[in-house]
Amino acid sequence: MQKLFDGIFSKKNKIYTKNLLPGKRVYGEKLVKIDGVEYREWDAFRSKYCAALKSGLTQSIFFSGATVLYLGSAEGTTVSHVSDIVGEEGNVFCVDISEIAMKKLAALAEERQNLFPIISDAQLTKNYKEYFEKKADAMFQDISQRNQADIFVRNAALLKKGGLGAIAIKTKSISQAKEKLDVLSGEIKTLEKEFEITQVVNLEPFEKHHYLVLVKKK
Amino acid sequence: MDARVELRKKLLKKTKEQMNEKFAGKEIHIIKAVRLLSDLDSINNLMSENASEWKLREPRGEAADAFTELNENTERIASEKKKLMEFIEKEMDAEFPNFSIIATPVLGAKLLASAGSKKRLCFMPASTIQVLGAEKALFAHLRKKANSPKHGHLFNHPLMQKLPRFKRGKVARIIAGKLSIALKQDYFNGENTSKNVLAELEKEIAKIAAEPVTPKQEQREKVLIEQHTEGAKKETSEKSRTWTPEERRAYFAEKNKTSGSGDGPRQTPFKRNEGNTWQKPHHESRHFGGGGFAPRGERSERPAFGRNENKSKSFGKGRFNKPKHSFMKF
Repeated sequence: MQKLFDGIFSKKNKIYTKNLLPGKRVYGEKLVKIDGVEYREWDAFRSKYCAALKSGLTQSIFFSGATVLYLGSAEGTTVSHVSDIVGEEGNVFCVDISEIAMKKLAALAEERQNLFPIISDAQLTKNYKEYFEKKADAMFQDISQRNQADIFVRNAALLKKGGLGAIAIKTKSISQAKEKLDVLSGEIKTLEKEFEITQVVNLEPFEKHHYLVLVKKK
Repeated sequence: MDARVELRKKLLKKTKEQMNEKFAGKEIHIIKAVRLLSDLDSINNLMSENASEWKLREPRGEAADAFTELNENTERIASEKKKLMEFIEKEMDAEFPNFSIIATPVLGAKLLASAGSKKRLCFMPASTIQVLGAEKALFAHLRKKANSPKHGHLFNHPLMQKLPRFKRGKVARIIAGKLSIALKQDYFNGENTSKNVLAELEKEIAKIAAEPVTPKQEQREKVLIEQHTEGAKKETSEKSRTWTPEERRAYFAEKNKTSGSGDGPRQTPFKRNEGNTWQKPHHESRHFGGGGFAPRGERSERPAFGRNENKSKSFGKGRFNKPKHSFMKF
């Protein structure tokens, strides 16, 4: 098992995280035991962050003990791995608008002690601003909306200075007709209001028309 | 540490409350049931069609077993449909006492499904209720100068049956107006006046049905029927005709003379679908045997990096991502 980043491991072109609750699966993934430690396999076709790791992300935004703001948590596939990475000391605030998706996430949050579920529109930061006494160390967003970059910029107030963020941009939900790089450059311009752009990763073999943009708050 | 545990408990409790609130509404079950009903309709049709076809071939032996099972399943689906209808009627009566009597329960449930939720439906204006279920026609009308739809789901209303085309719009408008009022009564727990309203409606519509047909209406009906039969054929034959390069050039030369320096969207000799903008002229040119569709000056401008996108295979591959595009400075 080779260490890629803090809490992220790889072996034979596959990516793993240490299982926070040994013996428990979240979405039917493989469990691997090496030297007495249990790892969960991370599916790149189901998680955009893992896809980015596989396509050459140079920096990981999550680390153990971090406070993370996760926008667009959905049913908690990626969230469970983020929860593995930050460990018991970390906090993951999961924001999603859908009650039906939150049903599964709430069950996950009952088990995992570092998850904080919030049902809210990610555009309305005032709904969950009060929960952040200390500003977040990292911010991740996976929302397929037309104004996805704008939502990310609005939430930037909850991220500490110099904190890392990552946003998965789906170009098809912004414009069907425009070329995808055209759309991406427009979104990057919006992000540059609050962030410095560090890297752009194309998620092509795993997700079509998707990019992951790695940013650092100014 | 304690504060963190407390915050977590508080958030878990709050999300549960929010979820319970969301799932407490009864209308979601009506919507699910009515969608299932329309699916079951088509399933039932398919199965009974298969059964009747098979029966003619006189199945024997193992085939007979399969055939009887098919028959049983068809019957079971029919009974499920019946039960669903009863469920919808019961629930609609409880949720919308006024609305379900004027609209009939299943039609009301369809309108509810189109609107999405009880609150949304109840706050809709009558004109929107009138065209619910005719979204395709409505947006075609807003975009392409097509005729506006007269009715959506309301077409299946029992009072709308047997009316000629030119009277349906008027009647749909009247019914939608009454429905809108009934919905507001239901939402704000108003009086139950639906039976009187329904009787009034029937009278009014009978009066409209008895009105004599004016010559203008007759003329319009003739034109419409013509459009739907012979006119349609003509249009398609015009569309499928191939244009020679000379014809095409002459057409555009004339266009340029009349419309000046070619500002605004380019015109084509055919009616094109809206939304298909001139993003990919190279695709279009194939239809006309190559050589480009329009004179050179009229080619649409596209950014250079969009065109070369497929060539830059290094982007997005490899362990370290080094974008080569000039517009990315990092």
